[in-house]
Amino acid sequence: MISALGPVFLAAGFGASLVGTGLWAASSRRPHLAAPARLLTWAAFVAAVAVVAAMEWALVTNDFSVRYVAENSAREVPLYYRVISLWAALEGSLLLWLLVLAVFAVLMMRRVPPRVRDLHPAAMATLMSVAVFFFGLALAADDAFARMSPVPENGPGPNPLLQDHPLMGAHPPLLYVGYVGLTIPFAYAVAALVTGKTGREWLAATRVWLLVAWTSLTAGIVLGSWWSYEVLGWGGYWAWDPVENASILPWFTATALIHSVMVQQRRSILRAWNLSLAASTFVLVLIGTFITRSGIIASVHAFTQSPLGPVLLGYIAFVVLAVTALFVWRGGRLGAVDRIESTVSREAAFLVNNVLFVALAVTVLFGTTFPLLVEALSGDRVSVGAPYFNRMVVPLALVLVLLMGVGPMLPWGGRDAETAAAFRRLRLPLVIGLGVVAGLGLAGLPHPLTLLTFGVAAFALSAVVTELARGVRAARRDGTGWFGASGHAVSANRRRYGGLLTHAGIVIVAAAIAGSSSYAVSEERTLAVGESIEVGGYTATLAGVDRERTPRFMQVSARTDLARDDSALGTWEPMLRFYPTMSEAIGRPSVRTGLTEDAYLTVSAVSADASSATVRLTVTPMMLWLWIGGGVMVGGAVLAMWPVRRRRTGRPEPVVEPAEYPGVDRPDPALAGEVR
Amino acid sequence: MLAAALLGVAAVVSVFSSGFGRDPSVVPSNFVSEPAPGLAGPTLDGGTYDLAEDPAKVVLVNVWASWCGPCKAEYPVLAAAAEGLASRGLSVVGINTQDKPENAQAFLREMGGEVYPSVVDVEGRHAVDWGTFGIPETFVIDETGTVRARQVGEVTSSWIDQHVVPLLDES
Amino acid sequence: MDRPARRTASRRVLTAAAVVGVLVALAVAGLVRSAGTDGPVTDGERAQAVAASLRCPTCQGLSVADSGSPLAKSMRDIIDEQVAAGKSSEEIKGYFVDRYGDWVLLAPRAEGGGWVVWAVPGAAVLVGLLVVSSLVRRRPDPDTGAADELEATGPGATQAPGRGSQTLRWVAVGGVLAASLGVLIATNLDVRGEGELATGNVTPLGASTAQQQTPPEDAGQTQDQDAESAIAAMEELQAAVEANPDDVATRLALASAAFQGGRLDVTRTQAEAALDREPRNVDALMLRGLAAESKKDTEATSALRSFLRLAPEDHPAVPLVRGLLGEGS
Repeated sequence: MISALGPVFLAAGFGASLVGTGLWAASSRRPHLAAPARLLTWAAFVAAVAVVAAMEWALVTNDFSVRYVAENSAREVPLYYRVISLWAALEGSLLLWLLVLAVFAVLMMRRVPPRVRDLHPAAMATLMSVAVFFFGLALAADDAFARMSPVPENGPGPNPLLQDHPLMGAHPPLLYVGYVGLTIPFAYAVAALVTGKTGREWLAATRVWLLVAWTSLTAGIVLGSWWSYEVLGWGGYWAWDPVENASILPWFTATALIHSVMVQQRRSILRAWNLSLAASTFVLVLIGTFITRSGIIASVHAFTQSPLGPVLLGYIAFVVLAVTALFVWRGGRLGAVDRIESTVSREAAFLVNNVLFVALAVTVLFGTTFPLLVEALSGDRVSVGAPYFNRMVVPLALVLVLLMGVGPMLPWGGRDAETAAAFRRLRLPLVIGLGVVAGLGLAGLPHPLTLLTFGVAAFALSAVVTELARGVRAARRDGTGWFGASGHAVSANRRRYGGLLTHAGIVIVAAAIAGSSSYAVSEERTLAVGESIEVGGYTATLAGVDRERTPRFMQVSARTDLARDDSALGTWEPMLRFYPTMSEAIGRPSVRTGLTEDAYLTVSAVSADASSATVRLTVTPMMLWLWIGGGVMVGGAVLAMWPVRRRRTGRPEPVVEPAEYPGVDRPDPALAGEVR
Repeated sequence: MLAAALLGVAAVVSVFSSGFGRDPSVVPSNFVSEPAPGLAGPTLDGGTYDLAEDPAKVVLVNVWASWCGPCKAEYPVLAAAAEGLASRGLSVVGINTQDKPENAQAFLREMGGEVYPSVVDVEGRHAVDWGTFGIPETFVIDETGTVRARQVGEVTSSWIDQHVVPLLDES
Repeated sequence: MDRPARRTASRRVLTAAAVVGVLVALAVAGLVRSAGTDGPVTDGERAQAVAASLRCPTCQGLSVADSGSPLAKSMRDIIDEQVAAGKSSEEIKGYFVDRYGDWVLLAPRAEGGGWVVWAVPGAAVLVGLLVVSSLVRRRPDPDTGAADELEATGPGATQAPGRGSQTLRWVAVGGVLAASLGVLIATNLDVRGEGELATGNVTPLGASTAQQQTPPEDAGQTQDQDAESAIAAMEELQAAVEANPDDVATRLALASAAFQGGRLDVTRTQAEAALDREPRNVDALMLRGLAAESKKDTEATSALRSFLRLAPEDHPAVPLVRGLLGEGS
């Protein structure tokens, strides 16, 4: 009965991280305490692994004597979904959170760049104190390991929305890795404030964690949208639901931080700004956790009512006040040492980027919490939803896409000669962007705002491609072939090309969002068997209605033959599933993904005699590109953070950056001759 | 700066914490303490019903459907109220919404027969007119035609005692 | 630079400017054409826009347009009907706000405290730009700045222009950014040409036309009036109603004209709209009853009953209504 030990493991983890926090804090003065501190960090890690293992064991073996299993699993649920029901409900998801945090603690403990040796103990102490809080939270939450008496024969199974799509196995853990990973920049920021070393050291230690967290968060958000599109059946992928907003908030500030860090490394300004950006990112993670877990805001994704709200709120307040106190204490060491000299420079572009991202975060945070504010002040209930967010976010995002074309071209410091060269290189992208607007517009494409987005995206994308091509051309000068040259150029400056690739991904995503939201066409009709519905060149013919009963659910599906311009595209089966635990049916769309557009079929009602079904066919252009763009973003970020190998077989690197001193975006050696 | 942060945090905490302990998905009705919307139309049993014509002192309007689980649970409570409190001036009327009349009739047969009338609302017009958020939902209308109470989700006999019986005793 | 080279350079600049100018002109033409292809807003599009702005009561966070729930379907039907009957988008939203409260609007109204949420993004951008512009300044003398942090700055810093011109440039950048954001938000707002949003209260037609209309009690008797002139009157009154949606008298005049013109659907929606505002208005009750009598709807009957209950005994239409209800006088 390993599960009986669950609470013991939790308590052990709580104790280990509590004492560990103290030892780490003390070890900066008394280095001999570092060894036991390490031991306790390992202990907390083992405790987190053990507690998750205990719960998984209970889930896998259908041990319904464990409360969490009895409430969230069922015998007939396939093994995969039993395993992932660890994060189908609040208590289990906290355990996953703990596991990720413990893994990060051990990784961070083992990676100590020499330059941040002074900061490391305080950073570890901060991280462990966060672990103390979350172990405590898991202990305080209703005991997931409580024994059921009598032991039920079976459970209700996880929420049907969560037990029917394999993406549920990837999306939440990725989000958690992103969320929890953002704790490390926070920990180093606190360490920088505590030790008074508010210079660039903490940035160097943070970079790789920031990128890991960002990449994972990005992948998690994209997969979450994909899940939403494939499962929820309303044809969209982002509803500006409070919980979706909670995931995008730290993404905004983390993205801003990735850029502003580079400014500080070059310019020694923005000390206070970067520290507070790292701290606010962590606070936004906590706020997101709060929104998802307090039961304060209604949402599809939120866990139900829980007693954790006040505890989380108290912790958020504590973190904000503690960080503010640190800032006040260290106020003298936070001034800018340098200034920015030019409006037209890389650093200025990054600053504008920061302004826009922070404005986005403020907008989304304020919009999401505004109904609570109104309710608290006046008792009235108001809503802030998609129409508001789209109207506010789209313009800001459009400027950001434009900036993605210009920013990476501009030289640091805004030196006149290089700036002029940069603008020369922007001529072709400008012509392409204007050409796209002119061509598509004169061809009669409706929706001017979307057209403008396409133009800006074409501009930014071709600017990015110009930059990539320039590096490859320069590398090719010494006679290598195209392929070798690309490989060399990229591997010589992974960060720059990784960043550019990520930008390309974002531009693709922006264009796909604009196109899919503006040009989708849809129609819903009740079809008798044999009748069809025609939308956007696609024809869906109802071939029959099938019913199926499984132990878990009853399912009716509308067998639909899909065709496009008379060429058959096979049979698709949108369906409705009736779960005994749900009062309403869950729709499962059927999606035919195409390179240029998706055909999205849903069924909302079926006649009792199986002779007809109410079918909706939506044709949405460019959907595939949303996922492709997301993949490119993640790929670019992975490229950027991949550790630089010191030696390559064949020829040596012209400049090898010591891995422990990650400066950012150093000038491409291959380009050195071209610019100056 | 610290003082400002304290103030700000205190304000945010008080705003957030005002949201604890309530169900965020329950939105207060616009009609409470306001005149009730109209309700008239054919009923499941083939007759007609008009709220404006109902002579009862207090009317309980219950929005339901045969496919809704909690409706099954609360039906006995409503039926008991309809039978037990009729002499004191209570009338109960259902709005059978977004439902097939034959399913609704089967539901009523299963529950032991139709005790009070239900207005047929296949297309959900009445449900929208009454500003309903979920099913079931119940409204209490007093003599003056004003909505006095509203419950989202199942009603219980103690809810009836609390919100309906006192109105019957009002002079 | 020698002279011929300079001449070539200036010719190049001229050519480039010409190319860019032509492209910009073409792009603007493209945008204009794109805006033009939107064309007049069809009823379907207007209904879709209204549905997208309303929150589905039984779902979590989805709009009425996106939701597949039965209640959202009912709400879409109601929207379609009201659009077909000529109600303005704001009126239709008002219909749902009356029933569900402001909660039903997915974008809060910019009135009362609601404007705050609309002002926040712009304020955030402005504050941010102000902070950023304060960071741009002439490089300090090396010995006043903390020199230990300067190693990262590249060469060529001596070319930095003076502070004044930089501030000017930042102001310019900020201005352009703010202006383009403003334009974008505005176009975003009205991209589908929801005319009544912008012009709702501008047309001062309402008062004057409303007074000339025949009192609605004549509606039942003056069937002889020329239907065509009734329709002409309808159009004028329709405009007046849109200009002043809360003017019950104008609505009733429109309902009455529509009744004479045989447009019972308009009579019904207008009488209902009037009843929404004045539930006990006897003329509205009567028109509502008359409008649908032929379709045997029970709401009409109940409206007529309420009319009889509320109308003074000497109301000219009482005998008519009694007759319609089959009751002797």
